[in-house]
Amino acid sequence: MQDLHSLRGRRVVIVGGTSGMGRGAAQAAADAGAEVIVVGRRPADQRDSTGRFRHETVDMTAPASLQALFERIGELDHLLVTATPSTGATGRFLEQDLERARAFMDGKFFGSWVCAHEAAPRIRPGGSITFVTGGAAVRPKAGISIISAAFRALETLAQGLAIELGPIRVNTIRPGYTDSEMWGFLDEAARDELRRKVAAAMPVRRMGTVEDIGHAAVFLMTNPQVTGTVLEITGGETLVDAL
Amino acid sequence: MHAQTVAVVGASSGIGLAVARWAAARDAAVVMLSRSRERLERAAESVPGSSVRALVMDMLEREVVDSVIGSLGTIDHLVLTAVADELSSRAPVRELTNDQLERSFDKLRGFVNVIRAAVPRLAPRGSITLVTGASAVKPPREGFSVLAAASGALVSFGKALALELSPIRVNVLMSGVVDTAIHAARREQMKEWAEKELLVRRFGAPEDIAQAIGLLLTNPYVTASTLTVDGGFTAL
Repeated sequence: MQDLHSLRGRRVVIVGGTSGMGRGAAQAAADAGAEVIVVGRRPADQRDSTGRFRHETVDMTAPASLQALFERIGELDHLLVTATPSTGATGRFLEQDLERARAFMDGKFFGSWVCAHEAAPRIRPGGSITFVTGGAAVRPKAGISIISAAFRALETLAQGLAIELGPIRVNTIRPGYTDSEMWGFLDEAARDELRRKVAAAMPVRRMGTVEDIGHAAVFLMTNPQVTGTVLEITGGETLVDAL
Repeated sequence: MHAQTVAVVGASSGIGLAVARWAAARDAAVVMLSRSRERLERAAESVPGSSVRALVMDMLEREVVDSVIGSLGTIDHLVLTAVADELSSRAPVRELTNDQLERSFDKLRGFVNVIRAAVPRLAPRGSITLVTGASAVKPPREGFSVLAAASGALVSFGKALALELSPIRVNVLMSGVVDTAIHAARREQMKEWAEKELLVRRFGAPEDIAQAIGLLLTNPYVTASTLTVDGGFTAL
């Protein structure tokens, strides 16, 4: 998109960049001229996007794996962490056990924490860190309370890091319903039904795309004055009743 | 932005002028609106681009607004930026005059006038951006109570409009201290403060805010959002 400031000569690391919103951010950053390093669980030879990015594989729940990753990468300009574990996320509170809840908090919150902790000393002047949460941060629903709690904790961490790590800028993207691989557990008919419901309910009358999120991510990387901010990109989700 | 019309209220200086330049540089047809003819014409001459119009309009005069906005074709994006002289309404609450109270809400009144006139001309996939200040959430200590309330009112106004005017997108940009004419008298002092105290260690430029408004104009999934771009001021 034309409104993006250039990322030419900048090194951008996207953790959770092999699919969905992370891949949207990786593509937008590459379009803006960045050297993009895409980090994910999947081995590089099992990923479909290839030539434009350098690929790295990590285990988000293993701090040593993340430490080794940032040692391999060295200096960088911008970090975006969107990786979200698939385990432990759902379940009604009284039916959920501590182990599953902890597994989600470990992957999402502490996974992002370790990434920021390892990356910050290697971030060059003008650089930034961006976390990705979701509308559930301010709109908890039955059965996903641990997701809401982890998201809100991460947003608060970002604000604390903005203060402590400044002039490194630290922000959060809070996306709403976004049409990405995270809905891959639905069959095609159910996914169409979701798109229809979201388009009918949200003021913006459509579901978000990974390109929308990528666009926002590059803005947060390039704007020199934005820090400690939550960029809400939800199509107006908080104005209407929960789906 | 090619072939799209961007109308900017408060375009003769500061953030409004930077938005006009941002849009013109992306091939938009730009309509610059401001109350002072002389300043507006000088500002318009400084904006490169083949499709830049400057129209004098006092947003507080409803008939003038209806007539000027009514003379435009389709508006894709409407950007409303702050008026410059609100600081004259600053007063401790126990000394606040009725006149100052009225004038503190001029910005809201003016924005309502413009939006009321513009709605029939706004493209269905268009947007409205309201610019307000960080005083909405972190007011200065002295004499800012009603001005802070007015800044906060714009945030609520934007959210309600996003619902009422859907699918037109409506967002609020909350800016901190920016290097504009408002601070000209104390510019060096402000710059020094920003470079020392602000989390980003720099004095924000109008272009930084224009880039952020550009995101709100072009990102099709952002609505009802309040985007804070303040160098970390509200986090301090």
